[in-house]
Amino acid sequence: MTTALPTCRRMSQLVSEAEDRPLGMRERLLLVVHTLYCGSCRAFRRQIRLLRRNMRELGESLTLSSESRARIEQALRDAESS
Amino acid sequence: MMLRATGVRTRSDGARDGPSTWLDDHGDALFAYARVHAPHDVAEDLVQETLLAAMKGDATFNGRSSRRTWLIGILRHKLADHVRQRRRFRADDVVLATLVERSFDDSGRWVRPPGPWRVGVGDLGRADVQKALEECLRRLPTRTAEVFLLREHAGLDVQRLCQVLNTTPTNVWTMLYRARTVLRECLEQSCLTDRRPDAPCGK
Repeated sequence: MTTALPTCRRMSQLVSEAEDRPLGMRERLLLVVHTLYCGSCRAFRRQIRLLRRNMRELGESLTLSSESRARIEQALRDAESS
Repeated sequence: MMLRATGVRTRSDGARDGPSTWLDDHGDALFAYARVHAPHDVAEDLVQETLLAAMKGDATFNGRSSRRTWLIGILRHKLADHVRQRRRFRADDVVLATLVERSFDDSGRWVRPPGPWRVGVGDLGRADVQKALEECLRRLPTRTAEVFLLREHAGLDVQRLCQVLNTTPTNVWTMLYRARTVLRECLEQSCLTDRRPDAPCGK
């Protein structure tokens, strides 16, 4: 029986899904072997992990400024007391 | 904070949860989510509207979902109105699927293999990197960008994502995969590699 080597197309999906669900035994094995010799998929994994980490520690651009916080607090207070 | 004095209940687990803590606990998550679809000022207004609506409708919170999931549900309704009003061009899901498909050749190999990035963990907060990322996020189809942000920024797990978006895990995994693939390629092309050292970030 000849088994086709797993492609980067398939393995990159697993790299991504590994961030969101526990992989099965066979999937883990395939992935470990593939990333041993495939630098591109290793780079892909590094990049999406960097991306994940970045999203969690996002800078100012995606957080409320202290002014808008104060403004919203005021609006909530007004609504609560009315 | 001043507001803290009013309207705070103590949950059975001892944590405080009430309208006055929602802004602190969930404000940034809501804002980041709104920001995908709306400019800065509109996103702020949407967060405020969401919290106000949540205060009025607190009785409808059944405790089955987390407080954040519930708030995001309200925000999604507010956003839907906004997005209907002002629809930007975005690649739709079919185009996105094609984009991801084109990242690989017929034998399933990377067409433009991911390479080393000039930025590392230490550069993550850099303004030019954030700008490039926001620009890339805006190019995603709305729903895909939503899923990505809810997962990576608001920190929802796949089970909660399925609740919020009313879809299946397989669908969520696929959307996350597409989002990551397209985002990383977009970022790589905008500024982050040595291959294009002259390319300015954020353009």
